[in-house]
Amino acid sequence: MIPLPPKVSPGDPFTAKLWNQLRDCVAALRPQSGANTRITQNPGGFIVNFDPVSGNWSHPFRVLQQGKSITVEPGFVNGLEPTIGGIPISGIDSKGKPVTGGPPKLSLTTDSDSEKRSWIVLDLGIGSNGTTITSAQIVQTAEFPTTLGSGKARQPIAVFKTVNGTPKLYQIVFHNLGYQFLKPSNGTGVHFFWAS
Amino acid sequence: MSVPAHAVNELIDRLAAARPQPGSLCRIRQTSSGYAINSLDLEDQLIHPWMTTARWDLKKNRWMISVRPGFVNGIDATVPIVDSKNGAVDVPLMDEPEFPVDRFAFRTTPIQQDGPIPAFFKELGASVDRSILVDSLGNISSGENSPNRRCLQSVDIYLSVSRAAINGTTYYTASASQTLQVTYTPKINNAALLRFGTRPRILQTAVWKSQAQMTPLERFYSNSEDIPADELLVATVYLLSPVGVAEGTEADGTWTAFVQHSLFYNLNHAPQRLQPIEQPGDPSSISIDTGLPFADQIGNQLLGQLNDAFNQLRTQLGQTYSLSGLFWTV
Repeated sequence: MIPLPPKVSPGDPFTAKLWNQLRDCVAALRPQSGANTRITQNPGGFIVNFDPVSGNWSHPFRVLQQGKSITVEPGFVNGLEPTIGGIPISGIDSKGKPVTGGPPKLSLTTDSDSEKRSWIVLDLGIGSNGTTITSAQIVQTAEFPTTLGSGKARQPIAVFKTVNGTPKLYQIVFHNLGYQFLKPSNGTGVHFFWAS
Repeated sequence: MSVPAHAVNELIDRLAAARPQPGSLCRIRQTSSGYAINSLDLEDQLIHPWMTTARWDLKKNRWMISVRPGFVNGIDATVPIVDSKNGAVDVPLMDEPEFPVDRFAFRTTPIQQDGPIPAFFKELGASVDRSILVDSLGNISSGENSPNRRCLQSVDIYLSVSRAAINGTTYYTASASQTLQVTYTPKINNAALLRFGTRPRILQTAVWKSQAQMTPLERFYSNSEDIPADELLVATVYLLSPVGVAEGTEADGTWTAFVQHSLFYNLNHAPQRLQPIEQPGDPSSISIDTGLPFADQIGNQLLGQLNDAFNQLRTQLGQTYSLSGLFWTV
């Protein structure tokens, strides 16, 4: 921090040195923008703006982490609620009653790929007609992207990246999903997921 | 010692300009030892994939950009970072890389303006430099800028996913019948796909244009009828100068960065599927009447005709040769 000039008393000379010290002090008042900060300079002053740095909003398929325990907020694919370990992710059974123990949890494992990524994915089982969803479950895997066998489709919901030994969560899906399998006249078919 | 009035007034002006005022999410309190500047509660603010921020790096003396990880088909994008040892290295966004702005669009330059000045920045004082005026005849005269004028520069950050493309060969030959024959032979180009794979990449350019926004003539000159990538604009970073900065001045830490986002969600992407072609088609060609016996160069008077010709060629080629894919939200 630049030092302030010494205080003066009545009768003290106003020297060039004092003037320059004053000038340097004023110049040093010019602000610089730091992280997530914007500064607009005007003749009448400068305006300080902060950019948002954190977020917290609820949405379908939102993945929540508490230690090694993972839950997924309710979301639907073609109107169907996926499960974790056979239990609907909302923790509400088909009769509308809360499941004992609350919403199901995934236990975060250390499995990861070469870039230390591990995905939370929505795995679908597809019926022989190619259109009906026979099962929808959420699992953790380090195998993505991967080639699945016929009758299976996969959409990543979120991904963990391990940094300095700590898994950091990034959400991928923010909406309920639509799904359709499209098969051209020749060649292999393609699974499409989209926000619905 | 006597101090001239203009020096005292300059000092007063500088003091006035040093007073802070609260902007967005900011609270300022004056104390005897200075101003206390605090950000307001940010907990409920939305952050989103591809969220782009810019900051001035005091050590590197450069504007640096960072992009919050965004995903295409569940895979995070990478950004090329120049490494003194290895050259450009693609760094995943989840590794939180920062990259320097290395190209600018000049929005307030009087000649060859790189884009319009958004109304928001006009309100803040950004305007085209009028200190040098050039009329339609090329005559130069001096003008005057508003004392509150600011310069505006920008850089576009965009997403690119490589794919196969139709990059045919274009020939134009003059004939004795005073015509210019333009011939286009379509050819599959998968060089970008082989080099970059399908992993999404974040890139920067002064002014990004979608493939649909490119004129046929731009494609002709770049010989890229089909860009070998699907692209989307992520954000435009604007840099606004302080008052009174001369046009052409390099943006430094006294400038203010603003980000206009164009992309907020993660995406899925599918390229056009390549269908086997049993027999390649004939080259498409079209003739233009040049009015010249030998058209050994393309004059400006032909540009309009060439645009028309390439539009016709593109129509002839039709959708069969369009390999552009699609992005959609998940």
